[in-house]
Amino acid sequence: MRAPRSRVANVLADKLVHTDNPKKIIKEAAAYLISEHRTRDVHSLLRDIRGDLEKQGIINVTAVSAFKLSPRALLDIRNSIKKLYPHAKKIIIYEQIDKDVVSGVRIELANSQLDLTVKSKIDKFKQLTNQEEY
Amino acid sequence: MITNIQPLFASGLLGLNLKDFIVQLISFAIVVIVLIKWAVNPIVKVLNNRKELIENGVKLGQEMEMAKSKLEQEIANELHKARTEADRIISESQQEGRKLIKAAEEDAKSKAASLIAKAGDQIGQDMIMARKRLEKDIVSLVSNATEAIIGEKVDAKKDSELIDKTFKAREAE
Repeated sequence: MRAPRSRVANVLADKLVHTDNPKKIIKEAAAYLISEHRTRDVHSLLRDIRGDLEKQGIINVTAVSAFKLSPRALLDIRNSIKKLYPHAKKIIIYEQIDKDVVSGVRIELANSQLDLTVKSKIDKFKQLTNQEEY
Repeated sequence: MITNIQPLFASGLLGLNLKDFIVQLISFAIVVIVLIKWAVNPIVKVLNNRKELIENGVKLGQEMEMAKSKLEQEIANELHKARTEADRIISESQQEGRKLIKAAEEDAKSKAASLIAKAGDQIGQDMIMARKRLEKDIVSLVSNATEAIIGEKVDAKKDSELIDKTFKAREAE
């Protein structure tokens, strides 16, 4: 019987918190998904793991920007996350460069995101202009 | 008088014989009676019949003449009536035709006005649509241009400043 994804995520999150070798856990998880033919669940599983880690006070953040973030920007992001999660024990920021965002930063969390990019503002402007037609 | 002539018969002086005379008188009377009875009367009767026939024929001719005259009069009257009726029908037809033409003209005018109004509406809608499309195109163009310009102008330093500014603005909110 297949274990539910939420249960798998819960176990993996717990193991990641208590291990000194997270790479080994990740490899095991990958092997499990391949053997169970559940590779398509990988993104959902990651989101669930992030959610579980958030509950334990470990916040994983992906910061998408057009340029490498400055220390000042990283600090701003960290402070912003602390405000959102006052109980956070640890905040891990993964940087991701994407020129399509033009400028600014998009902060991606397990179940939400904060989009402060120029691209999103332009898209919103386009969307609002199109909505006015109907 | 008879007494005076009687001797004449008796004597036969004039070659007359009373007896013969009476016989001849009787035979003459018989001939007369026979003629009257079997000749004159039928002839008179035939003549009367012919006269009556002729009179009847004349009378019939007169009656026929009168009937003919009357018939001609009636025919003339009927012809007059027929002409009058025909004139009336033609007149009514012409009036009806004029009415139909007028109605058709009014209908055509109405349809033309309706078509013009519809065309006007359609043109108006097309203009609005075209304007909206143009606006959309302009917005898209402006957005793309803005994106391209910002992409060109922004470097890592400016990007960092922008991020910092954004977070400060959020804190101020």
